[in-house]
Amino acid sequence: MLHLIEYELVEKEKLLDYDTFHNGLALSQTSPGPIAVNIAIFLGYRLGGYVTGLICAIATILPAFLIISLLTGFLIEYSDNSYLVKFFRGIRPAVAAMITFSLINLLRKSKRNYLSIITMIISFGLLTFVSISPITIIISLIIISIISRLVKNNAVS
Amino acid sequence: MLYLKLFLIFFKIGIFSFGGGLAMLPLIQEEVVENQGWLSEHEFIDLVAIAQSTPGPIAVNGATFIGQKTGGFLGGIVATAGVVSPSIIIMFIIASFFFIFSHNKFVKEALIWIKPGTIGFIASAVWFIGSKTLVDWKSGAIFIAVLSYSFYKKPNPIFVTIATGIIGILIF
Repeated sequence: MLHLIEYELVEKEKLLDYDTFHNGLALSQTSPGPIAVNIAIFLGYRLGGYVTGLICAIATILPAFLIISLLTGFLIEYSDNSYLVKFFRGIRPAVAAMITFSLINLLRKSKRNYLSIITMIISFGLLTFVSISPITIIISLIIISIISRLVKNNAVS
Repeated sequence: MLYLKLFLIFFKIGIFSFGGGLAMLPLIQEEVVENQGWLSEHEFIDLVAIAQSTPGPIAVNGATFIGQKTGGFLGGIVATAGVVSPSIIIMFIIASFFFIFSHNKFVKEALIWIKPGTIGFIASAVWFIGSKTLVDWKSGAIFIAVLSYSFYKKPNPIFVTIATGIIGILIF
């Protein structure tokens, strides 16, 4: 999806330069929320202010919203159909495989050092086996990062 | 008031979800499956399948589906609005004060910690979905087949979903 945005706005329509797009991408990945929606808002805002930002957000959401709306009605209507039940039994392990593959790719690409591996394992363990809320984990990580930054600042000065 | 609840819960999911779609799954699961009981565990996994094989961000797909299932068409609109509202507010602030954020040391430090954390989240989603789906040898065979195929060629989720769905109809 992100490649598509870059192609349409930067290469084809030349509405934005490469740097603006990549700064926007970095910030969109940094911020909470769906990345595609974030970057649509950011780029829309840079092009034409708040209203354009909002229109871009709605335009990004609309196709997904419409497709799911159509599917939901169908799925609720036929939720007891034995073929549909078997269809879903077939795709569940495929979903497990696809996200396992995404996880492996992500692990391969990510920067690895002791700290990041320990953070990864602790966050996985707390969430999976202690059922601590993901929100608590995110807030704890933000607090740890502030402390760590303050310690680094003091170490320099 | 169901609509207000839908909006607030998806707002909460939107504001705490870093790292994109898959990292968001444990959050959706906690709120929607465990706290509210809007979806069963299997329905949640089916939702992940639907979200992966339809275009658009997983969060938007998920919010639309869950909103519609619990509150009809209006429910879908409210939940979707809830999940993207934090994005709209935060991205407007960031875009307006661009230079403050792009070089801020605290923002950079927070990311150093949050990024591996969200990989842990995805690992947890993998663990949960795997433990709920790999219950017999047929499911295990589909899992191994799809995973091996993925290493050979990057899979198209729509193709994989339809193919394994048809296999499911044939073998279960």
